[in-house]
Amino acid sequence: MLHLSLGLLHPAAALLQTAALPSMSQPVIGGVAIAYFVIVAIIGTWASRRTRSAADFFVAGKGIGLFTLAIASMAATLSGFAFIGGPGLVYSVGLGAVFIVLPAALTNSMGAWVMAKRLRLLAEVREMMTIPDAIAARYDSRLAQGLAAVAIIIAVIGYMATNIQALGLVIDAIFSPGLVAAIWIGTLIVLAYSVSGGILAGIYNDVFQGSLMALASGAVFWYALAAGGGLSGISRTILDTQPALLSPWGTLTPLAALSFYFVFGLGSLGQPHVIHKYFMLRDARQLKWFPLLMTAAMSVSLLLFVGVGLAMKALVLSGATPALRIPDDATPSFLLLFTPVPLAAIVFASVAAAIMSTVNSFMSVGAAACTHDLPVAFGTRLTNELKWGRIWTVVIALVSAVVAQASGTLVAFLGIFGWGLFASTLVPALAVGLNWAGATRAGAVSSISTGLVVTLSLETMAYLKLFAFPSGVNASAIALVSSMLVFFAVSWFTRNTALSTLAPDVRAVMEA
Amino acid sequence: MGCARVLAYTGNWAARHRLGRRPLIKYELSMLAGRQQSNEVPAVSHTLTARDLALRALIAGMAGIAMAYVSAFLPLWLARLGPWLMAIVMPLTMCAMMILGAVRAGRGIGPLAGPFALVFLLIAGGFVLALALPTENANTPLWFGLPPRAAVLLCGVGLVPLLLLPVVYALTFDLFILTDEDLARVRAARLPDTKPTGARARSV
Repeated sequence: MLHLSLGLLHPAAALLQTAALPSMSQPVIGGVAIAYFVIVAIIGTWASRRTRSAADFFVAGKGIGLFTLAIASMAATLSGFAFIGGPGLVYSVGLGAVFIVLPAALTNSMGAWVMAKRLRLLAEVREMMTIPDAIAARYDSRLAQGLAAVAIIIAVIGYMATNIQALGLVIDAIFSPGLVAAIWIGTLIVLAYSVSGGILAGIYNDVFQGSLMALASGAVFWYALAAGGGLSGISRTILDTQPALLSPWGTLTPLAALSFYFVFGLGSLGQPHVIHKYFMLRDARQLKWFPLLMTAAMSVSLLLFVGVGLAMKALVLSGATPALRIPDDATPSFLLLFTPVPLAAIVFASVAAAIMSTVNSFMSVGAAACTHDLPVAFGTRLTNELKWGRIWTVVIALVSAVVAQASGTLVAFLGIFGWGLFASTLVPALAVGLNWAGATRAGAVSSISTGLVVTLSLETMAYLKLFAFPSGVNASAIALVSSMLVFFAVSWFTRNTALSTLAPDVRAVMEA
Repeated sequence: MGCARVLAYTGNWAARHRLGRRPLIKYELSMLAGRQQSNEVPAVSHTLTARDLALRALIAGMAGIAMAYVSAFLPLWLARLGPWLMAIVMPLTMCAMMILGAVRAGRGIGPLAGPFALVFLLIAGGFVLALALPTENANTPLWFGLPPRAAVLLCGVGLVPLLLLPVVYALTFDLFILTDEDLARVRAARLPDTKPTGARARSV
């Protein structure tokens, strides 16, 4: 169930997938899905034999190449929303939904300039396993590391619950075992390769899954244009009856659409499941082609997002197909009606792939926060981080799977603040802090605390219906702006301490 | 103490612009591009660097975004200004963030000044045109298969930066973003103990 009160649409709520999908129980679709799961299992088994240390488990032994990094980052960024919820949102609100993916024109390059080089170079001078590690190194602060870890754990549980529920919905639509059983089947599949092979299994599965996503998206986009009579044909059909859908903001208010751009643009710098992959690159100089590769892969993978939503709207308006039951039926209905069954099967497998790659990345950062960051924040370190990493991966997955079976509204609420919490707690301290020597420890701690408190309190109050924001305003954006301004203000007032917490090696990284 | 510093800082600014008699925008653009020579800098205790400019733009951008959101709580005629403000300050924030990441100590942002300025103009221009151009109807002519406002937005805000920025990043990487010397300097700064900050091994 998407929260589509038009102007009141919450950016993160738009990413949720909590409604049942139409049945896709066909032999070919089931067969392709099973083949996909077998390949995932083979990759997981291969990776498990190469996982011998905590560094292998959490940062893939810092030995992956450029292509792997780019495709894995893309796969981790895009969840099943890009294939189901996104086209559904385009179908219902028109081009306003495109503001979710429009920042991708900037974010990959911005991430490379702002984060990738600094984080990768930090891994040259320090033992970096997690994003809170980078915060601790930058500010020489265990408190900042611990607070960042707490924020990550809270957000990961909520995010994973929504993704696991979405995975359950996809598996239920293909094999019809019932939602509860489907949730557990999906959880166990991801858990199996995540526990055995850690992020190494995740990364190489991401490459397979990301390639599948890009291929499927490109092919479906071609079919969408063909079915709708080309882009001009689609536009003409929609303009004749519902021209507002093709206005730049769709049926959203301009402020709501621009809020999408802001939260998903600047917020992308604080998504730990993506940015921690920069630690894993074998050679820092390979970053040269990273934005180009990732942008190309992401652009192809997002073609389906825009194409299917608009094509289905035109097909429904022209009477070629009946009206959809819910907007999220746009992709399944289009695939079943207008594409060959094998392609539909590959796309459904891609949806599962997209969700699983995101879930695996969340498992990794969540387990790392529990295994590594929290103990370090308390001044200690576990001796067998590999074993504890596996244990925490299981715990986090089981907790998320249990939460995923709660009501759709509660799961939606938990998922809503994930992106905003990551953005408001990590963007100021990390994205700005790694590029500004004037940032202080007090500024970092204050901004992380502000992000935590503002996000959780505003989202909870909104969930309990204690108040409603005006059109276009949302808690994620307010929290991000607040934490940024607090970060600058506190750093300004404590600027005399800025250089005292900046270690020479970290300074060398920041000046490179 | 804090107020005194703010006053002194403001005074330095005022002094620099009185003494320099140079248009502020020209001076700051040359700083941004790293072309400012040391003997051209006005003789005051605080001089602006490209990083300072990016930080100021970032702070101003965040404050502007906050104001745009605040406007939504105000009467309708003020609330209508919110999206216009957002359309300008949000690209400013994004570009300031990129400049902050790209700036090199003592070298400004070198060849990146032009592309970043172009991207700001494209994105802000795209948003502003989308707000300003007339609404579509059934007879609206199509540009590239889309209504004009949507085409301007998707090309200006989406397609051109999408094609431009990754190419600029790759083309400037070897000379400006990460050289072999940079890498060697960072590796030379590595501390003997490379354990994560604050960590102490303990049996569990």
